[in-house]
Amino acid sequence: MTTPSPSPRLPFPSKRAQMSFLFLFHALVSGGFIVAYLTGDEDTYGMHLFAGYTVLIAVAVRLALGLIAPDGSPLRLPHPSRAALGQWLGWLVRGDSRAWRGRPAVLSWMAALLLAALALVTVSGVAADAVSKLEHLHEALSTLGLWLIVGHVAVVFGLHGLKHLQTAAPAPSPVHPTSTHGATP
Amino acid sequence: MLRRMLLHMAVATLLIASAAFAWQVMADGDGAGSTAGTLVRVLAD
Ligand code: HEM
Repeated sequence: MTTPSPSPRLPFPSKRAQMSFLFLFHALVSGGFIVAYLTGDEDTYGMHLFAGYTVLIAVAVRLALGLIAPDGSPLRLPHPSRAALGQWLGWLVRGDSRAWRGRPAVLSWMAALLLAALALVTVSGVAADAVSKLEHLHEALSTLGLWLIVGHVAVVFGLHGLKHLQTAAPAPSPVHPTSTHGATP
Repeated sequence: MLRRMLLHMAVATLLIASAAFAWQVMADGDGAGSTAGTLVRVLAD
């Protein structure tokens, strides 16, 4: 019996190109969201549609790439874990620097919630364009999205501030060479 | 990284706003009068 040969891996762009895509994606969804939010009026409905569809297409491409991205790719969809979030909260409350070093678990939660919110807001927008009864739902989801974004910006700047506060703070006094206390393994 | 991100976002916002504006003017399609009118409405928003 012959063992089936593994399916050939699709060539995936370099990590650098993937990061550039993420930057472009972030710029498109944030710019698009801001413009769509400010042009929700009837008078500027053309602009609202243009900006909304920009976000919808960007999110669709991002989600599709996230589904096919190989392990370890920055494009993989976020996998938020409740346990990791609990641990992160513990670190934050105790002032443990692990809360703001590396890639804190809270960012993965934010990314997942934001991607889901942007998908819901844009899809409900397309639906509301066809069925006007859905306009209120679309409005409510947009407001929810806006609050999530406010939270996202606060978390990103908060973590950035904490990281910088720590680097600006004077280094802890060195442990006396003869002391056995505080020795790390 | 944050600074680069903010710069990208600002540029994208301006580009999308301009493209969306041009799109709306073309979709309205009734001359320069409406262009000025749209600009005033957008700025007033
Ligand atoms: C001052 C404004 C903002 C800053 C500094 C900022 C910064 C960031 C950073 C650093 C990340 C990466 C987090 C990670 O490690 O996963 C991120 C992710 C994300 N941000 Fe923002 N952000 C801003 C505004 C916005 C806005 C306005 C939106 C949406 C309308 C948005 C949507 C997202 C999304 C969807 C992700 C997840 C990206 C992905 O994994 O595909 N952000 N943001």
